[in-house]
Amino acid sequence: MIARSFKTAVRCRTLFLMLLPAFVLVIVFSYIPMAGIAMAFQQFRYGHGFFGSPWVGLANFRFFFSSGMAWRVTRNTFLYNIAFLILNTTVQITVAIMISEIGSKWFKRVTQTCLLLPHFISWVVVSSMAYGLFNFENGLINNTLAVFGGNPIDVYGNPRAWIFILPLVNLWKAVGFGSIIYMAAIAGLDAELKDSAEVDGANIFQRIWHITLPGIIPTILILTLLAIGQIFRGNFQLFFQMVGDNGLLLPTTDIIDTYVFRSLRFTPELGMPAAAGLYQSAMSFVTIMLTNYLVRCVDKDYALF
Amino acid sequence: MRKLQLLLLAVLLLAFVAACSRDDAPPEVAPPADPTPEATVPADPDPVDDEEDIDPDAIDISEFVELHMLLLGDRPGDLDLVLEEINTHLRANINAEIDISLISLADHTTMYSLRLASGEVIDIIYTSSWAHYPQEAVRGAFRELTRETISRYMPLTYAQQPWRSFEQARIQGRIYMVPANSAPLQGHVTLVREDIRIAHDLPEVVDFETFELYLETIARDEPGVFAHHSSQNNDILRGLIFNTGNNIISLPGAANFAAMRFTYGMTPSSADIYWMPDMPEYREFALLMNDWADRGFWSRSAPADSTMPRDAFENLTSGTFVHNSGTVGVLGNLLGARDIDTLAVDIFPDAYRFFGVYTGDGMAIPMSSVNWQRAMMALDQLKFDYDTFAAFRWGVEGTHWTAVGDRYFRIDNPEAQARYVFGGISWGIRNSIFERTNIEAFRSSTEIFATWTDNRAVYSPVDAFVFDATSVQTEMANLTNATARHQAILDLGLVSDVDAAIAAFRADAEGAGLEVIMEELRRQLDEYFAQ
Repeated sequence: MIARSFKTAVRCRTLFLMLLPAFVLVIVFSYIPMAGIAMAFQQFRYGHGFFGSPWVGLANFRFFFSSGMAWRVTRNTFLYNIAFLILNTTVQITVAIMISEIGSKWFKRVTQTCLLLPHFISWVVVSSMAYGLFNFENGLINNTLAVFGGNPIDVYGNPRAWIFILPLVNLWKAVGFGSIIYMAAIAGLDAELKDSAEVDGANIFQRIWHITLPGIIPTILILTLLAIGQIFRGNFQLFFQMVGDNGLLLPTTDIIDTYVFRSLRFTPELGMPAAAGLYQSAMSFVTIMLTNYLVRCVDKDYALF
Repeated sequence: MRKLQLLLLAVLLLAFVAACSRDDAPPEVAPPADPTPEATVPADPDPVDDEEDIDPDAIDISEFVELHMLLLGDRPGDLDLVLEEINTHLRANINAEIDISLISLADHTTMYSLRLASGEVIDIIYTSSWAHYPQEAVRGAFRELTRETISRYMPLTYAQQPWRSFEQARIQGRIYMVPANSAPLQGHVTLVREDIRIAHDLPEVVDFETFELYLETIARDEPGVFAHHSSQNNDILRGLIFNTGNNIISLPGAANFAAMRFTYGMTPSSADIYWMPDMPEYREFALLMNDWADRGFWSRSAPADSTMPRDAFENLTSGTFVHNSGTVGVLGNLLGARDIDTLAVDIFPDAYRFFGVYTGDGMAIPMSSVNWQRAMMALDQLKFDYDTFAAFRWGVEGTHWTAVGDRYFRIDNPEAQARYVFGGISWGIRNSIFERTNIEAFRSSTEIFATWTDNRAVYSPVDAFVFDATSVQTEMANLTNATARHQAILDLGLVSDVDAAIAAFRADAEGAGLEVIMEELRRQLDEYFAQ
């Protein structure tokens, strides 16, 4: 048995070597830090260290659930992520299909580059750009409105506006990068299928609907499942840079990550943020297991595991 | 076969890497596990050890050591030059050198703890009542300093600095900081634009009424300039109008929620402490801010504005800048050089000004320091050896500054001086005995400061109190969040109904456990007053 394993290992040595960096990375950055979960149940003290700090049971979890905000921020996190998921996936697929159907190489490249650019702008810069657009006195929007005699709008004082602004900004930043993967999937489809469909008289929409889309369903499902695994983890950068500590907007924009940061950035206790992180992980774990189970029920081949 | 060996080697390597990172990764396994510092000198090359004898001559400094210092601030252009100067003295006196790394002031709220927790060796670190001292000390990040270690390794400091200053640094009965040797007078000065005031023919700003008139005129008649630039919150005007204007003291360690009225000669008791928004003065302040916001004194988008007030004043988009007299003076001089006429004013000339705390600046020895004895000795030199102190504080004499008598200095070469701005990174060793001021300092700001020292400087009855929130962490986390949600927008006057907003704030604060916190605060204060 062992001899056979060795033989396999030797035969696939190149593959194993290629796997090695990823394997090391996962061990070092994902598995070893997992032991830090223990901190969620400790009152951590440098002097006593990781093994000597006193255990405090569930005390570190109390702050989150006793705040009366747990429901609100969990709901916000979940709903925003659902909105991001649906909006991003739909637009990314549409864009990927459109770009791959375009004949002109030059046009294709320019469009793709323009779409990809926002991905490389940091959230800090995006937030200043947003401030330049939305600020009440000197913002581009209000200045434009003033030229046409309109009344200025107070975006930073209107929590409802951000329910739309945040998904749109997120989409603007994510669409170019996200569509690359779908484009790759489309490029991997058998071109002959499309050609023969064309010869048989299928128009472009029929070709997309019957050939391209079914062909990339596995990719869509895998990416969606991966995104669902992150559904209780908010995009801290997006929310914190765009909204900051603006109390007027928090009812609709406070997510678990920003809430925890705002509560604990001055606290000396390391256990409390660890507890909040564990809560998110546990919620995400349950969601991903459940979704994967449901996908398995429909079609085994589409499930992650 | 060789390929098999190669694979085995790879697997071994992998196991090794994993094992190594297990050793390094969590900071918690690194430093000594025992909280008593004397017992845990790890691999100390110094054979003269703790209880053996207390004779300072016996300290063995034959082995050269390099010490790592972590400070707050931006890296000065001439830091290497200055370090060379400092190290010349340190090498000669204690056979050691320092190197300095910095955390930008913009990052310190998040970076400070991370750097301490990372396990990197830091021998000396800046800390103070406002820069993480109580929190990190409770967490065991710093080495405890005792009367014995201080007198032994910091003889100059021990001899010349009042012990009272160390007493102020006690956290749960232990000292972890070498604070400044003096408690500076606190108080805010307001810098206004004289050119604007004169252009609009306004009376000189001497009190609250003339100040409000000045702000109103800017808001109405100066497009492109805000009367006061508020960035994200309005802590500055709250400090000036609510606190100074009403002689209200914010409680150290609980400054963002608890306050007391000060009257001269009062016998303070814990019953004088209020949750800030409960005070009628606060309601009055919030109403005033609502009025000012409606009149456009600052941007309606202020909560999202990240331009610092100082930058806004410097680039002429703000009509006021409120800060301590030193910073106001620097800015006044800077604008004066650009021919923009500014004046420092005191809009509450009758208000009391309080002496600050010794612990407003200081240095600590982190637990990760291996050569902690030499670190203490270096600190002693930096604070009380004049040449070392002067180099660290002002730079190289003749290049960055020129001495004028014993109390002043002159700047002959402003460009060179800009590469090592006076006191830019060195507040941690502030020493009033050697301190000098710029002979060309901004006149109006120093004059105001002088009137305070002469007339209305008092000691705060709670100056040495530090609220220890360890037992109410959960409630504090929730209250911090409730405060973040309500305070800034109330202070900025951006709520539609002040009373309703305060009521909502109170409801959230009560839900967070305000009563539990206030009870604990009053209990600690009773103990403090009883001493």
